[in-house]
Amino acid sequence: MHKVILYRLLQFPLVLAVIYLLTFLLAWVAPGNPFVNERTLDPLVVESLQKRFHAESAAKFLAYYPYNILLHGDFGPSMQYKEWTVNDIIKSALPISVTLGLVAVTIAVFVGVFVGTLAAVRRGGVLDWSSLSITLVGISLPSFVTAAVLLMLAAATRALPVGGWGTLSGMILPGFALSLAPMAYIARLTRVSMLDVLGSDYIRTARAKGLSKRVVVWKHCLRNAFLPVLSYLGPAAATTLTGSFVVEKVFNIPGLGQHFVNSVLNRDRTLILGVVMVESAFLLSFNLLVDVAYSWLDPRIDITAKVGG
Amino acid sequence: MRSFIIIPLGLVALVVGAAVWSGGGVERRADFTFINRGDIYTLDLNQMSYLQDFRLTYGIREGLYGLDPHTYRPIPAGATGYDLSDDKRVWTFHLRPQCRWSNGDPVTAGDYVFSWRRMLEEPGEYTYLFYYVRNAEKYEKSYAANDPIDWKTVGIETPDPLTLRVTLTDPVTYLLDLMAFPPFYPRHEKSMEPFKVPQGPNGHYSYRNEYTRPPAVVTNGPFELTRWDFKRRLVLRKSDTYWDKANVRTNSIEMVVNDNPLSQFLQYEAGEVDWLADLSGTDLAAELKDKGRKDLRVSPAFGTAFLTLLCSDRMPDDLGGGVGGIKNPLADMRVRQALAMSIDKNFIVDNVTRMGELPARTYLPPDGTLPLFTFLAGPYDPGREAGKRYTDSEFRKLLTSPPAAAGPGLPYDPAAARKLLADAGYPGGKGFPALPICYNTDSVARAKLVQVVKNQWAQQLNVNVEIVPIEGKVFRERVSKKDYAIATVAWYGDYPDVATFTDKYLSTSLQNDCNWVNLKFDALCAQGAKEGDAEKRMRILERAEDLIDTEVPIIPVYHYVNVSLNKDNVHGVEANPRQITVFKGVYVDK
Repeated sequence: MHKVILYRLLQFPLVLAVIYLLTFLLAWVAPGNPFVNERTLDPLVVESLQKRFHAESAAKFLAYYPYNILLHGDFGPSMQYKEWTVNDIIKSALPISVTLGLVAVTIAVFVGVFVGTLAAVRRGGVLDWSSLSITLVGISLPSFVTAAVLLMLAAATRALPVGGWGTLSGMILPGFALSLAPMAYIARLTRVSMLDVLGSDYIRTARAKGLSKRVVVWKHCLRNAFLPVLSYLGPAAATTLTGSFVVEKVFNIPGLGQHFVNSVLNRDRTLILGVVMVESAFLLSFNLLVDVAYSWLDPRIDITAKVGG
Repeated sequence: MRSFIIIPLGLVALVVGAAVWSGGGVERRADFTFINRGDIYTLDLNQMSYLQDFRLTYGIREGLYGLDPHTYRPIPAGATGYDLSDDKRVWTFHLRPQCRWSNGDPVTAGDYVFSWRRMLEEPGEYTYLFYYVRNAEKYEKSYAANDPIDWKTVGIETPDPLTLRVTLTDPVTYLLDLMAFPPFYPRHEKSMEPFKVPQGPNGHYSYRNEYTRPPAVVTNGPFELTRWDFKRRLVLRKSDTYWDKANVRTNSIEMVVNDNPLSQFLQYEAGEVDWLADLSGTDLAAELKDKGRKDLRVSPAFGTAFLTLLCSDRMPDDLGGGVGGIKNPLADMRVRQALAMSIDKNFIVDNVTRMGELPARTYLPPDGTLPLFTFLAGPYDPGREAGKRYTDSEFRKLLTSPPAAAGPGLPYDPAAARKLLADAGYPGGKGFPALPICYNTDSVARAKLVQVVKNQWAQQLNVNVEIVPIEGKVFRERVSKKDYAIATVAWYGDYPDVATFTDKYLSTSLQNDCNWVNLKFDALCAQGAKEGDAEKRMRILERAEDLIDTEVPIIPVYHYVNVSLNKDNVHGVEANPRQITVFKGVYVDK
């Protein structure tokens, strides 16, 4: 087991390097100059800017930046936000996105699992079909709609802050808005896998033994039914934690989501690479965590086993 | 079960930990809070070009001259006054001895020289303004070529620490306005030292932009920048070392960063900010206006939205749409005039933009920024032969009443337009190629504008154009490379003089993206540049402006307005054409 984890960890740098190169190629090839804003610039001005950012050519860029990243963990200056380095930007935005993401994931997991389980247990009942319809709406409604509605509710009732970041109460609405889509998926996943587990033999044995329904469902079923949710949760948590562009934009939260979109629109190549690296690192780590958690949750799963025995 | 509880507990612990990590906590509110036109791009004077950056700089830095809070005309600030030589080329500025940097050091002439030299050694967007100074352009180009001329030959001298002598190549009547503009502000060299980085082997160097951020930043304005949380807020505090601090009416100012128009508006409504500086470019403003909101402030802006028409002989080869490389119909002035005279601009300002903009017949806006300037009567005005002229207010009145033939520029006259098109060889629009009309997809208003224009040209002239949406950065590149046929663009004046508009269309100008070459225009501008008498100069430049308005290399559509929101108890933030805010005079009656 430990060998597998180690092996996976050793793969990280290789995967990240490939992602870096591919992203760099795409960002470099995209038409549009990061330094041109409203006016046509004097070629001297453009040249001096390019020199400053080591961006005169692809070779010069690649000769300077990866070296800096590996040795000092320094992604360099942002081409668009000239006062800030990419590290500054990520340092200021990542904690916010992570917090918001955690709030959203927590709400999504708790509510989603609870609703999904109840729907499965009381199958065919009111709770079942109503939860199914609500989750359908949750998946279908675009996040900018739900976020905008919640924002206007906040403004109308003055009960919660209207956007911005800084207070605990300010995390509630955006966290909730962000949690709706994953919550819907988790509820449905839980329901389906719960139904699967509820019908199995060992559950019937447990009930026959005289264990109460509550203990059977929440202690024995859930543990097995949770596995598909866990697979979904890995990448979902990684993307949620690194920021949602829409919710952050509507609630004016200075997280990482906006940088994914804006860095591309601005052709800010250093920032693009920085945020992509962060997201990739998150994704790789979470995938590994999920695989480890699998075997912890269900001892029958052996992630070290080779395919075909 | 027991071990399973780790998951929810763990999650909750993570959330709390992360909340603390991300810096939660409420701060005491500043005396005056506002949302700027957008996020700050840079506060480095070399690279500054966005309006919101200039606005904030007016609060934390100061130059030789500042701006009067009501008239926005230059008044002495870092300087107490000046002497002007008889030939109007040598300006000797006397610095105010009480001026101090925020760290206590006195502001000297050397600080101005350092900053101006930086603008030449590391060129930025506004370095071209320094070309008025003798040998400045030569120094810049020679420095870039690694063979700099002697700095002493450049027309910037400091006979003593409190005197700055500027020698110009030609008289510049509006030099004081330029001195009030941030590219001409001084900088504190010693505090920037730690950020100096060499650029290559030839002794060139640059300064890392971090010098503009607290705690290292040293400024000389009415406020100090004490805090800058990226993408969240900037906090200014009244400066103790400022020479005029008795007249600074607020103790603390906070600029909230918010890019989303709906969220901005809701924050204002909820009372979280006192002033929303810019609502332009959204339907929200038009709706509020229709509702009759008293706190909505609208004022004419010193800028024009227009269509730029490529005037080269041939279309660019790779233009696409089957028109690449063909003979350019827009090269014929009559075609351009026909297109200009068949756009109903009143319809556009009434239905597309809806904020009370003035429909435009001229490139220069008649918004009152240039009191000496008058507009010459256009070619369809009966008074043209007699040399009739219109003042700003007369012209504005004409534009807001039903369209007439009389007036500067070209009128709305589809019948005359059809005749012009026929004269040019396209009777009834026959044989006119389907040219692409490009617009920038960042702007919703422009998308609507091109559709209206396409319809009007089809209806009035039977001329069809293809609408081509292009993404922001690519759009700007294509326009500046002259890789288009017709495009929707805009221009704002940087300083209160005609030259900020007319210089753009000199045949030698980098900014001349329509390739219009008119030697008479160039000659008039050159003559105006040399003329020392302000009135005579206006008369010359009025004829230059008239050439643009008659030959229409660009078709003006409407003049912008500035839209902002603030309650009556907020003072000092009056909407004005150049969107200047004199933070000294801003305060809130609580």
